[in-house]
Amino acid sequence: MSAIALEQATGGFNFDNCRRNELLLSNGVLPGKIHKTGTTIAALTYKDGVVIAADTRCTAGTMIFDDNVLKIHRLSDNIYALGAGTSADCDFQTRMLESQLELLKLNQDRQVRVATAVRKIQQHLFRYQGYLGAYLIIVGVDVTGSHIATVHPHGSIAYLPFIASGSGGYTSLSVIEDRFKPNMTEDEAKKLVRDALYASTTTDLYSGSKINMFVLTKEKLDKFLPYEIVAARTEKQNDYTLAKGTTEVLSTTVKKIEFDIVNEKVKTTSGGHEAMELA
Amino acid sequence: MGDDIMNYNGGVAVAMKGKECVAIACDKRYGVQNKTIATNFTKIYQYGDYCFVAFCGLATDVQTVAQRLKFRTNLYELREQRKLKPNVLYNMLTNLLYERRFGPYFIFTLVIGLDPKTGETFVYDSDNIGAVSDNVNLATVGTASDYIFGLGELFFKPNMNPDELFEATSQSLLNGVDRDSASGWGAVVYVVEKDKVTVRELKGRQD
Repeated sequence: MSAIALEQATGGFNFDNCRRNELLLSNGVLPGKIHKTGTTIAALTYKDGVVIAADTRCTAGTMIFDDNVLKIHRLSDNIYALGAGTSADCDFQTRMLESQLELLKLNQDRQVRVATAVRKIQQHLFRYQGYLGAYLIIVGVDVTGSHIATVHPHGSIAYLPFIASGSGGYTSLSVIEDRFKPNMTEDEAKKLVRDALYASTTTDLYSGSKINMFVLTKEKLDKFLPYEIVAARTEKQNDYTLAKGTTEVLSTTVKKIEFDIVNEKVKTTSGGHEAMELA
Repeated sequence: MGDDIMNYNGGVAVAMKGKECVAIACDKRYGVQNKTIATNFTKIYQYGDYCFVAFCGLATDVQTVAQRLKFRTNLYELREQRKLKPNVLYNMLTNLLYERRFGPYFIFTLVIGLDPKTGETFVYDSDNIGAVSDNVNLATVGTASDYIFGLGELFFKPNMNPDELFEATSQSLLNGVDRDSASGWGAVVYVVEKDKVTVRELKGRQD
């Protein structure tokens, strides 16, 4: 009983299954496919702040598991993260970082800085020696200005004026390298990021579908979900609605769900009978 | 062995959204590689009036995670003194799976739910380490999922009524499992509406 209760008490990773899994894998069994976000994510700084964009495809092997994934994670009101690599790691590590930053903000009574977020996640990922496959781009605007940083699973970081990451990162980077200049206007920056993402969603097979874009400055956060639909689903040529009774059913059970009546209103209409006429 | 661990026991589940209704369906095969041991192993578990979860993959992990999740949801309902919402259930499940990031359970999961007050529908799926998905229209997991995805995309249309939803879900499942040797042997479909849950057993190929 105490062992079961303990399962609830502690946080962090649980390594109970490792021995069993090792045994299975040593017998020649292959592990299952996990979701990767094989992705394109890009960020660049412009005159007033930062522009970030991501595609929306999530793949398991070559199968597209989800065509509308949001890869932009909020870390705090002024800091956002883009995630590429293993889907679960990006989701949970950014979620954990978000809650840590919220506590820090409450404790220190100041807006959290980008450098803090980057340092925290870098140190955390280093502890796991690259086993947490989270390729992140952390962006934000704080008192010291606007910053973007790339974080790799082993814990290395780089602060750069523009970053593109993920499987489609190289394609995007080449577009940005060609046209980037410091202190661009917002429209120039948005156009450049859009072109970069467009190039990789069309060439990289693990990126696709839509382009989501956020523009973050000291004053505002503009969300474009999506900014552009690169490839819309093809319209169905026919109506494939199946008639009722198509499927042969062996047995049917209907379970009514009990619900309590919380509120009851009875409204009476006065002198209605003469007015009603049934033709 | 030398085979994928996820194909060891076989099995598949599919979930689809309709207008103020959701459906979840699974096959009933329980096998050990090429042998079929039982034909009454459903993979769908109920966690509240309107929340259902399907687990597909290694059968021992299906049962273990179902029971461990039940433990956590029971404690939640006792502590909070209220019923579980679908997105809370989904978060609990993905947390449970991510805890074992480096020694994972070999299951893929589907969560469906309905909010009876607003009629909002939820369908979520997850891989074996708890990757979080958005609320999707159609989701499928298991050995025949590749085949069912194609059929599901064809038969799904937005705002279906419960009857259309049942037909679309059933036909996607039945035709998909007919192309997969590791699943089949009958099917069960749950259609969840605001005031009732209809459970239907389907007639399918018994091989």
